[in-house]
Amino acid sequence: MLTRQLSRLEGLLEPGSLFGSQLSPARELLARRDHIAPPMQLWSNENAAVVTVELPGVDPDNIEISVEDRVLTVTATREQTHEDALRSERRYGRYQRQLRLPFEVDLDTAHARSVHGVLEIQFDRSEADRPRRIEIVREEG
Amino acid sequence: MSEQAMTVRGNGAAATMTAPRVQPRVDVLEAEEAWTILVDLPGVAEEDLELSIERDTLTLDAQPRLHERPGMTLHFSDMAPRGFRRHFTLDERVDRERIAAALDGGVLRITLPRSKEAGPRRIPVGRG
Repeated sequence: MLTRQLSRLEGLLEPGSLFGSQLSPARELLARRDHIAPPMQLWSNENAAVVTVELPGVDPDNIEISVEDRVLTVTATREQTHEDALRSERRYGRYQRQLRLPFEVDLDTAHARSVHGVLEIQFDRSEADRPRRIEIVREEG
Repeated sequence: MSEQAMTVRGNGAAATMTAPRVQPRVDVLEAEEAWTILVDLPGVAEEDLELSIERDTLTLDAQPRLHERPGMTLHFSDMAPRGFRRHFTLDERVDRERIAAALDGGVLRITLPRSKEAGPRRIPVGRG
């Protein structure tokens, strides 16, 4: 019950509106509230992008990453390894988070690693969709 | 809950804060030889973590470095810049000398062994 409430609260933070696009598949999933939405970050520079997702204690074998139409989806399962806890606050089950990337990425360059329980996914930005510097011609006069 | 050797408390009022601290999520497990506290600390490395004990209070303080990425700009984040702090009150059944902790994949495992004197004792039952 608590998990479901938290999941709903975090759903409100879904970044779709920041990029002015509707994340309808994500909204649908969030409406079902059958998963936990972990916090995430998106970093970039001219050439690359990094997405990070908090997934402490999640086995990398249980993480799936996909990109379709610029929407990055991270799905993970956290297995409960014990029963009968005196106190149980950590959340187990299905984690899912989606983010619409504000630029094209080159999927062939994608690589991911887990650093201290934070998943880091790194991509190169597509050549065609990188910011370009426009040179200003100084007119001799 | 009368079996619980430790009380999990909130942030101490006297805590001095360098960055906002939140309480990390914990599971507490009990076994015959020890209690185990599992703490979710995403982004925390060994050098970002301090674990101390004073009298009956075990204090955890951690500051993950999730908000530094040289040469990159942050577009979006809902990871609030925050640290983790939590206090645990131990009772006399915990052997203070043998407390151990290990950090792996963003999860801290604190082992609180039962003191030998306070361990469960088997009472022999004779045949009548």
